[in-house]
Amino acid sequence: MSFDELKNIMVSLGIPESDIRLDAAREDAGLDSIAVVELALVLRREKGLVVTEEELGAAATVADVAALVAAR
Amino acid sequence: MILRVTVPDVSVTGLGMVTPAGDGWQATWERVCEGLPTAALGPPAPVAHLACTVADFDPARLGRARSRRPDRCTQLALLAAREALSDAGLEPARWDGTRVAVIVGSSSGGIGTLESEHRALLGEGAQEMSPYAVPASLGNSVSAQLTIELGAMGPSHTVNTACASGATAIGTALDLLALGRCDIALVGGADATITPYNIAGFDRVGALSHRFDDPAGALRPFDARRDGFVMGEGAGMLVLERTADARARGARARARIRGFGASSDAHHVVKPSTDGAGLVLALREALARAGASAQDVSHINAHGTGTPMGDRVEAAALAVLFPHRPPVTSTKAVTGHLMGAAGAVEAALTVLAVEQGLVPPTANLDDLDPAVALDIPTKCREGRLPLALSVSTGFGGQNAVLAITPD
Repeated sequence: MSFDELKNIMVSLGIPESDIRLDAAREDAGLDSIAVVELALVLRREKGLVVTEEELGAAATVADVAALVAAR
Repeated sequence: MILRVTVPDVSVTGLGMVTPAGDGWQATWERVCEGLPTAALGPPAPVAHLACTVADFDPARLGRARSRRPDRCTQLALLAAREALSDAGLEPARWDGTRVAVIVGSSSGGIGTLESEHRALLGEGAQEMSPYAVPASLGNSVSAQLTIELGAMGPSHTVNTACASGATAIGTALDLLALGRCDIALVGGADATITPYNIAGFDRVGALSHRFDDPAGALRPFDARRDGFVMGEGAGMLVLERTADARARGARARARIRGFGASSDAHHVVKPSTDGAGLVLALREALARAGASAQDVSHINAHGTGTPMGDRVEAAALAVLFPHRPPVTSTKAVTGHLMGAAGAVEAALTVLAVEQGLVPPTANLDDLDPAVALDIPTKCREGRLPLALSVSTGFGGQNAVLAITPD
């Protein structure tokens, strides 16, 4: 999955587009612990991508999250 | 000690509706006045049933995030709230949100979300549940989401008196305005209960019509051949302000709400008390708070769900209290029974009735039940309506009556 696709999903979770930058810390980009649970669910249900909540929670930056979804 | 509260004049400055009869108050009002029912056959599961649905509803209108998380009930409420605020000429970006209250009635809140997330839990396990399953299905979710959306920081409640919820919400807001706890009250009702659990559950009670060969004719209030109601969904919202405040900001008032009466049958979880004593209490209280007497009433929007017993008890109470036979209508024949939204949508329709001097018809009334001694127009009737009542009752015997006058 590309960064743009990830960004679209994050916007659909209510995260302001301007906060979603590759160099932003995960929590600063709105991916707090609840959003991580939701993102893992949406990726699995809607895109068929299995990325665990633990993996997403261990990501430090948006770039790390993007790398996780790009690898699946 | 008796606490004496001076009831101020309260004006209705905005209306919003999203109902099976139309997207918006204008479309809903027009279809109600045309007397065109909206009931249709639903899918066969979990039981054969009829329903009045909000057609062509696209949650994406709310924005992408809001189309994913909130329950359908809250989505309908958000759309109706936006219309009501626009109708009132209010912009949340410019108001003092600390003085805005949000009071919404809902009988089942986010039950659709609760049911689907519960299916996910039982089917695939906890990891398939949304982290928003609980906040979207909590009883408070409708009013809480509205406060977040609109930046309304005053008191907010979701009130529940089952099918009287929408009317009870309006009555509750009258008290908040009287006590000075807010300056603007965004009030109403919302429900989206056409769900497997509710359809099957209400069918088990025996409350739903089984006229499957004639969906449009199924919900027939006060008709001799009525056999139950048709479940509907939707939202109705009103903006209320003290009349002096509304005037000071140059707002247009559609009508005023003069009184509210609430009571309980204290009788049965489903059935109304056969003597209608609880309902009469609420009717009398609404009139007393409006400073009016029974003979002043010129129109009544009845609860009239089309159940054999409910209509009989309501009709008997109205006939005894109002022997001068003011025109009575049940708009549910067109909209379906909107459950917790019904009281708010019907109050809004009553606002339009007194504003326009028009009693909407009761559809499907072909043969008036001989036990019903009421004047029930089957065509729109014009005339000045100095005082109208909107009547709501809920399972558990909870009653709510609003007294509404032209501005």
